[in-house]
Amino acid sequence: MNRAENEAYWGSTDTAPSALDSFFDEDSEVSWRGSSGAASWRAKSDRGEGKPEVSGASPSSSGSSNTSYSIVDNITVTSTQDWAFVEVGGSGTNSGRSVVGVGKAIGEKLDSWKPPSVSIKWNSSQGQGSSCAQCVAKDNEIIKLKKRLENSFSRYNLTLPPEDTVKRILLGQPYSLECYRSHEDKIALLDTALATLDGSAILASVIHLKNTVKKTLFVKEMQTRPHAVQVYVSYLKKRHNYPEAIDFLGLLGKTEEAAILSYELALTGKAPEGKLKNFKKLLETNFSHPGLAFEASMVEDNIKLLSRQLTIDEVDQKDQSNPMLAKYPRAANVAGKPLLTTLFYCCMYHWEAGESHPGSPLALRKEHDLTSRQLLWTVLRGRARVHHWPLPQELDAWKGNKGLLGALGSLTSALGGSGRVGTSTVKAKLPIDQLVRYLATSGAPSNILAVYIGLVDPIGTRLTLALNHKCHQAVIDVYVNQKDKGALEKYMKEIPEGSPEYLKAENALKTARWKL
Amino acid sequence: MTEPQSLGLDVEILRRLSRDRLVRVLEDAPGSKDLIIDGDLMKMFDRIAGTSLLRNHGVGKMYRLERLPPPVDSGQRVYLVKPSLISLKYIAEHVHADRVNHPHLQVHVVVVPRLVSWISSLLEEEGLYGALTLHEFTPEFIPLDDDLLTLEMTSFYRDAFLEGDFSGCVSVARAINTLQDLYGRIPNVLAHGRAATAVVNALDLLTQNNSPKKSNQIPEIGYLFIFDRDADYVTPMLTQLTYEGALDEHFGIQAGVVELPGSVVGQEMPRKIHLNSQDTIFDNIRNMHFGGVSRYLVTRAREVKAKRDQTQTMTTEQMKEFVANELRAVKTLQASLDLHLQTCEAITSATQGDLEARLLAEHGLVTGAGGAASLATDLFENLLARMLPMPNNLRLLCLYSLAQDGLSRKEYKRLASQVVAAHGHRHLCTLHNLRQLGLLTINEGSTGTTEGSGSGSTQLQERLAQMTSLLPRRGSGWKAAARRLGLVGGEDDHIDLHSPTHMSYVFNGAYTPAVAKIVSDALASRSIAPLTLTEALKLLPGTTVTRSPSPGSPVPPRVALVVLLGGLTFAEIAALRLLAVISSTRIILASTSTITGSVLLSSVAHL
Repeated sequence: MNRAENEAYWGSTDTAPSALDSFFDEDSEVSWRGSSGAASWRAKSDRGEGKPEVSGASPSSSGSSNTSYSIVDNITVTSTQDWAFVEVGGSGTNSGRSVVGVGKAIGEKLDSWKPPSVSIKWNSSQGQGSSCAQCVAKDNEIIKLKKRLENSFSRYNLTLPPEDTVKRILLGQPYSLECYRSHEDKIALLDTALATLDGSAILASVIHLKNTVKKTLFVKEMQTRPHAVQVYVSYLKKRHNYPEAIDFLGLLGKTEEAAILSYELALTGKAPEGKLKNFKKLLETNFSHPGLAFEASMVEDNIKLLSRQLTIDEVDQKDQSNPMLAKYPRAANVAGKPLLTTLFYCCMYHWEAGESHPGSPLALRKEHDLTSRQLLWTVLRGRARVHHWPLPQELDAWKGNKGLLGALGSLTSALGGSGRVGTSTVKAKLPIDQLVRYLATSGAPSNILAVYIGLVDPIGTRLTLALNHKCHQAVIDVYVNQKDKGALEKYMKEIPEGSPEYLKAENALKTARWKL
Repeated sequence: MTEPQSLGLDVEILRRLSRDRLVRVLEDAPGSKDLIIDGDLMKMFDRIAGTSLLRNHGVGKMYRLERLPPPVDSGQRVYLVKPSLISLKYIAEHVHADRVNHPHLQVHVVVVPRLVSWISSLLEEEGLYGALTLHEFTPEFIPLDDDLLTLEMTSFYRDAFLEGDFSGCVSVARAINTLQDLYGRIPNVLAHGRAATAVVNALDLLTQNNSPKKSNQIPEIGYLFIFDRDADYVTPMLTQLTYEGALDEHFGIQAGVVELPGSVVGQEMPRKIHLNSQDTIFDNIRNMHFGGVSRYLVTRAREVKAKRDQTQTMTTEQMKEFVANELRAVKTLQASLDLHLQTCEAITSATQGDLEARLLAEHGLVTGAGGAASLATDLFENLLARMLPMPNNLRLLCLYSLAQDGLSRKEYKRLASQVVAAHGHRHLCTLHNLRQLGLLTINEGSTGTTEGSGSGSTQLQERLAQMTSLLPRRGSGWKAAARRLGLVGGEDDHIDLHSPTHMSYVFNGAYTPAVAKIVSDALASRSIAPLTLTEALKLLPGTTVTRSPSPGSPVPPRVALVVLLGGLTFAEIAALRLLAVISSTRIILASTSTITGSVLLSSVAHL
């Protein structure tokens, strides 16, 4: 608490910046400069002299703690006027402390060689800020407070009311927790902090407790204070001390949180092979609790996926024979990507691979649970990426036997008009209008679009969709279906003459059955 | 929409206060210095101070904080950082690296907004205690507009609601306290939620330190409302339909500035636009329902064109006058119209096809329409299968859970595994976070069907469990709270979306943002917390704190400050602006930052 110390010493002072400049200008009058290397190197004119100090710790000169006193005295004297000035500006701070000016800045220059023991003592004076016009009074007060702090080291002594200390933490004033030594006092401090909800105060008192009592006692007290646990665990996480956080949550019986956290830790690993190993270990330890069956199954799924991805990456990196890999160079390794991205990848590069190939989309499908929606969207997107828009029948062929899935199978049957079985479920599940829009934006040829548009019900929507996407084939199909000769004749104007669609429409006008 | 013009309460003064305080921090390191700023803070400092102000106070070069230290060209270096571990670790690395070659370098670290207790111990562990100087800079509320203030504490939601760290509340209290210093102590207070309670606690501490004469000042602000974001999770989960809300959803508004991609504004570089009431066109459309915006813009564009056409027939004399007086205004108007028409078009084409189904599901869920639940799950599963952006997908899932008072375990498993398949296994952690927050709830025991008519007894058990648990499980009592507060439906009449009289217009009449409704109820009654309201608030997570003036005090002025902790959406802003007009109250809105549901969810997602 640098700032705190300074403020404690400087009594929340505030001075105009110009004062500091003049302070430095009067180099020759600053008697204390020679007494400390650390101080001297800060003065601009003295840069050349002596070796630069690596840290601000007290250098060659002797008795640093003594010098610090003398310097403090020195400065007190030289800047009395500043203090008087400060009084006016500084006392009116209402929204807490305002920023501290020069006095502070000088103090900062000094504290670098103030020995730690001294800083603690300074800390104890806890920024009075109100009565520094009389330096004697201030000195007396310092002595008094110093005594008070010394007393506080003995266990029979006064402790500050926890309310006061917590308030100081809240308002950003200097504070010390040294005096809370009895267990009751520590707990009272913690509970007072908890009542304010302030994270800073809670954390300070939790860490004080943690550092001063044995682990079992600490855990016992935390057990009944969930908010303190939450603050402490997120602090440990912030400090990347995951192992301790996991251990601590485990001791408190929070198995789910501990498990999730251990998974989070395993995820931070860089190398996928290491991750795999860690995941496997987790299943035996943190995720073994029966209440975490679902989460455990997800981790297991992750293991399977990651192992496959590693194999795919290994094979594809070396593979010179796969034309797709040459045509569409891999953007990145697939390891660590989501399941659907992996399926997308497999559909791009290994569409026709047999199930024995690690990159086979079929094999992936077999190993992981995929809904029909997930399959359909991902397959179509993956193939569209390589400018291939499979027809529903092709998807069937790809699958090898009776229908890619329920969904696609019924797509085919709907298309073939061989039965209505399943069509309604498909339409309930798949927003075909979105599918069509996707196919259109991905550049699917018109005849493919027409097939998918043909699946849309009711026929009115189908027509709108066909017209929107200027898919002549689909429009013709609708009019033929509706037996609306007039409409088709009218639409002929939209179709480029001589195109296959035009010929088809002409043919339809001649041969199809029309409403009379 | 014009709001009642103020009783001389100028929020711009807050910016000056922040600026002065920043200057004092900079002068703590007198002379020339280099500045290294945390990337997260840049937007905020941009709104407080310009570069020239920094230059005038000795700032030479400015850098963004990164892992590698910037070159040393000045004897002093000032870091402006949030109290985050990474920032401090970077600083520590910089100091260790630089002290070898630049032992004279003085390092100042300014922590924004609060120098919390663990920072000095971290520096001590790094062996840097005393080697650098710590400062604190607490910004005031930053005015984004006459009626909109922000603290730009973008990580507040995660810190407070997920990590349980309410230390940001002290900074909020300081900002409110400054307003009280300027405009008198606010007599009526209604605060609800844990963070709100922490703010009130800290505010009490701060006011104790105020000089006694302040308390005699006649207050210029009559009402103070403070809410936690978790008082209403449904609002951020719903798709925003006002123009400004839609802008935020599509392009992201950060501290009052939107960055439109070049493709939208028809140029190569993206363009940054300050959104505030100074642009009269924008001021007129910002709170409009999106459906009416382009019509309005086209009408205005025709007017402008007519004006321009007039110039064709003008005499030289008239022309001169036109050029001298009106041309500039017409040109500005034209530019603004063009810009907003372009953005409208971009938003419309981006939402095409998907928006309708989404709104149908969302509003169906909120109003409890039959079949809405299966519509929503179908839509959700399709969104996942298409691998659309995760935050927006999760919004629907969370809304589904909130509106159903939780999912059955079976349903959770089914949907969760699809989330994981689409977005990666690591989002097991995200799902866990959402459950911690109460955005996602599993109803243990209820084997429930999707039409969550969740049997009364299990709900009661939930409620009991909620009360007995020390860390309340949230997110399973929304239905009752919404009914009690009258958030759904409300008016039987048809809601006019384009000249609104009811706050629910922001969601097509389906839902009134809870915060707006509570403020409306409180302002309409004689005391700030009528019994019906306090009873209803009991159904929301957290507790209520109220303060009323002593009997016989003068009638409080019709000026209200509404503070939302954890983020405020533009839908709520629009609803409260409408309320300001309806209730002829000046309403000043303040928040830790403005958000959309996607921003909120991204902030708690696993990276």
